[in-house]
Amino acid sequence: MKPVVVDILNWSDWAVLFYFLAINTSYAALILLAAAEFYRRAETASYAGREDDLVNPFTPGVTVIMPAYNEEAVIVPAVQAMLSLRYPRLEVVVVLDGSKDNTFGVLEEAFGLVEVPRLIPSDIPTREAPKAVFVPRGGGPLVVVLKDNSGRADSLNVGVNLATMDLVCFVDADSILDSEALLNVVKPFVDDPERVVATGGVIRAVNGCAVVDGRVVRVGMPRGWIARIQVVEYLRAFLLGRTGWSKIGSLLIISGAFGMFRREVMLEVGGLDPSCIGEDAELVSRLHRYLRDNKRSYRIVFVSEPVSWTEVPATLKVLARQRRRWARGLLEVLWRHRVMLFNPRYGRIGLLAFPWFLLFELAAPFIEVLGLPLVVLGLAFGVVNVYFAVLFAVAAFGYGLALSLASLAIEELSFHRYPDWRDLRAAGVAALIENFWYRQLSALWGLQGIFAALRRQQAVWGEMTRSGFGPEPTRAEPAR
Amino acid sequence: MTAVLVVDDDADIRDLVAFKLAQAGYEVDRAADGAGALAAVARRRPDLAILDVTMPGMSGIDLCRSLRADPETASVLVLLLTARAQERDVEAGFAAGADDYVVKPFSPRELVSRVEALLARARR
Amino acid sequence: MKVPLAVIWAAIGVDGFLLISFTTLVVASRALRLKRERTAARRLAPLRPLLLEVASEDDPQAGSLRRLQSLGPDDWEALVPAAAGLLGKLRGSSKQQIASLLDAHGSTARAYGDLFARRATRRARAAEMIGSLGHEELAPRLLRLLEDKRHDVRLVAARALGQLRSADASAGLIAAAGERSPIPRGVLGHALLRIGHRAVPELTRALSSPDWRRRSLAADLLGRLGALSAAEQLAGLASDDPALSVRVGAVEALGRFGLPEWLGPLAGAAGRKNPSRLREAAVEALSGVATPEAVSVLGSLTGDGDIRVGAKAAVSLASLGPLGRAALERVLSADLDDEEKARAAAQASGALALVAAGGR
Repeated sequence: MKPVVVDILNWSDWAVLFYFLAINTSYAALILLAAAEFYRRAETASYAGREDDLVNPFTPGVTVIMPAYNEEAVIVPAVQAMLSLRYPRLEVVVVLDGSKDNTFGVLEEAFGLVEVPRLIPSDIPTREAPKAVFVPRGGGPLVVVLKDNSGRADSLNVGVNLATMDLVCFVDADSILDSEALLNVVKPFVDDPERVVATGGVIRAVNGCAVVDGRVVRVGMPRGWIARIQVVEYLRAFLLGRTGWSKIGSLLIISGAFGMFRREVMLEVGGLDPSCIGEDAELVSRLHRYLRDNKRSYRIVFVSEPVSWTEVPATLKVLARQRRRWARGLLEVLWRHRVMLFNPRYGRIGLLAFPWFLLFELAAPFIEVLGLPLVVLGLAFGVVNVYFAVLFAVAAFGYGLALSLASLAIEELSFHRYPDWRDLRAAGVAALIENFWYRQLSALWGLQGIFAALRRQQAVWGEMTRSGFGPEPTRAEPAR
Repeated sequence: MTAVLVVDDDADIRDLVAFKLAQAGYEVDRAADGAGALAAVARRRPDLAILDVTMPGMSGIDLCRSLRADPETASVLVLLLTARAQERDVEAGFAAGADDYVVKPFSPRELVSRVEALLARARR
Repeated sequence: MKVPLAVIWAAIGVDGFLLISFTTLVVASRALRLKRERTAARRLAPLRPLLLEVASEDDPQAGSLRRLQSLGPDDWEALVPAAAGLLGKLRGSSKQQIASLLDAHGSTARAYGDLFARRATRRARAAEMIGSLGHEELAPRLLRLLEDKRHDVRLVAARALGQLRSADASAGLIAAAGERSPIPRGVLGHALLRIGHRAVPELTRALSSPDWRRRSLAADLLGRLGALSAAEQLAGLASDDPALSVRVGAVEALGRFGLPEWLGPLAGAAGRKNPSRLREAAVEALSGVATPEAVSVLGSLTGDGDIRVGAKAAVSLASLGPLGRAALERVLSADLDDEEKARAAAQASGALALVAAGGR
């Protein structure tokens, strides 16, 4: 065994060094792109005309679609907050996905709902048809739909069928939106209506923030380190990473907690796929694929202005579940749309974004998790000396830490949403300790997610390959 | 003394309107949002309220509706101040029980004249 | 181990350098920002009441105005955001007062010079400033910016022209809707709406433009402006224009006019072989006409195979008063064996329930 380990180690140290260098440098490039974009937005903010959008009768109408499953505790303030967003033409469709609790009852009482018989167009085929439609007595731009449980994606599709506005916006019942959220996310549609087909809003952690009447009134760092590290991670990976991807027209993920789409285009691609775990990411990849197949000139834009606040997992157990699901979702998307991978027909999506996610998101857990025992073995056999191993780790993690701090610096320069000096210090410390256990655990969870996906999907894949693997789902599996 | 409540999330407009009304001899209270406005109303019931329509949280129209719903404040005169001038918006304002409607950009002088006219009509 | 230690040390050195620089950047930028904000707030505090006094025109002997006009550059800079902000929200002589303040500090002259500055952000800011100051005589210069090479500058120029409400800008704004120019229709439309009735002659002329984008924008706007003089031409476009969006715009316009004599083209546009977008617009427009003939056309559409068209027709009827409601009740009692009639009955009961609930 010893000689093999020696061989591998001798061969691998350069490889691992390059891998770390490449992954972090790609992140550095995204951060630089994001910084350039933030600078541009700061420069142009004073004449962006956002107030104008609020009074312009041509500003497109938006249907906010909020699926809800067992949300009794939060649904009423969530709907009220949604109805009071600053936006001129708004309709809110709440899709009750067969809740087992009293979600409907509390809504009925709060808004005085009355049933209206309604024929619903099946623009997108759905698994469950709506059972009943309600509107508030006395009017108001609210529609509540009751249906049997069929998962989040199917509920959103039902909402799209009911929507009457040109733009549809997907939100979660437990997310808190800034009152400017819709204006911010509609902006790209207003400025470039012919090309923009979808926009995604940034998600930030609500843990530690003061919330009054469904609005974030004061931003702060959460208490626990698990959540704090995620604040830094969200800044780096979501705020800056996605801004960077968007800048080069290769945004692959729009968070399910806040995304806006042109309804017409949603119908063209057949809505969300309920058989996917990461249905939001899958939708975006499908849009890219469809629009590029049809040689359309389009844009999918990420909006970095604060938009949506969501509770991030505060315990390892919940976090682990989330990360396993993310990894599974990513694998699924890459597999399903593998035709785009390294395919020049799909431009930057095929040659840049897809390979990046494959090499650096999907493969990173393997390198990180398998690297560790290798190093331990090396130390045990005396091939690796401790001094070298420690230095190597410091160099690799130091780069990652520098990137986290760069993200903090950019946040501070552009949005400075954390008013307290103590919050800044906490964020700095979180960026540091992230390297000692959080990254390793994330990698492990990622790996678990991938293996789970492989086990579960083998049968499905066989079937799909035979059926020619069209863009349409062939087999159902509850998403929730 | 006639009391007027000015509700606007834009501090410059709020203070400008309040200043102008104070100069015209009214007792003026100010609030920055719906919740603050309801608190101010509870402290002193105004004869007239000037409400901005597009505020974060509770909009001026919601606020107007809740003033109308409470018998204590149902007779407070309401003047909506808003940048939205579409027919539909004006309709929604009056449907919520507003007495008058002033569109931004507005003239402070004209606003005071309207306030005076509304109060005079109510006194008759 | 093949990687030389020196390489690792070099990497650590670079990391350390980056760590220190970013940490310093965070701390320094925050400290500087807080200091700047405090200074600005301190300078602004005594000046703001004066500004409000000027804006409210309760300024005895223009004392406050004179004081603000003679402010030093630092104090003035602290006041600019508030002054510029008020400018866009006020009208009439109050606005004139603030504008004269900005003039006194050379903002107008600077904006005038910056309209053709090399930096796009300066051009855009200048256009924005001229728009909110309301210098109508500068409209021709702004018109040239509609063809600026930068998208954001073109957008600002269009918005500013709307703020100036200069009728001379109408032709330029309509031309900017053409195929070559990518200024969004919503931005141009809003600007033209602000210009209002004085844009009607140019808009009417644009109805016969060879470019469908211009025709479509013009049709839509003429409807919103209530330009009845264009009704006949619009009726022609509603039936015959080759571009769908022009037909939709013309149909919407006729609906806004609500004149019974144009029922024919509207009923035609609602016909089954037309695209849904046009049909939905036509249904909406028919409810604007609201004559017994319109009611009967709407009644025949409630059972339409296109559910959205049927629903719109039913809701229109339900909100049309006794005549419309009577039509719906007739549909309700029809025999349910026929698929279309069953659909119509369902739409009718839905619409009646919706209107009874107070929606729409």
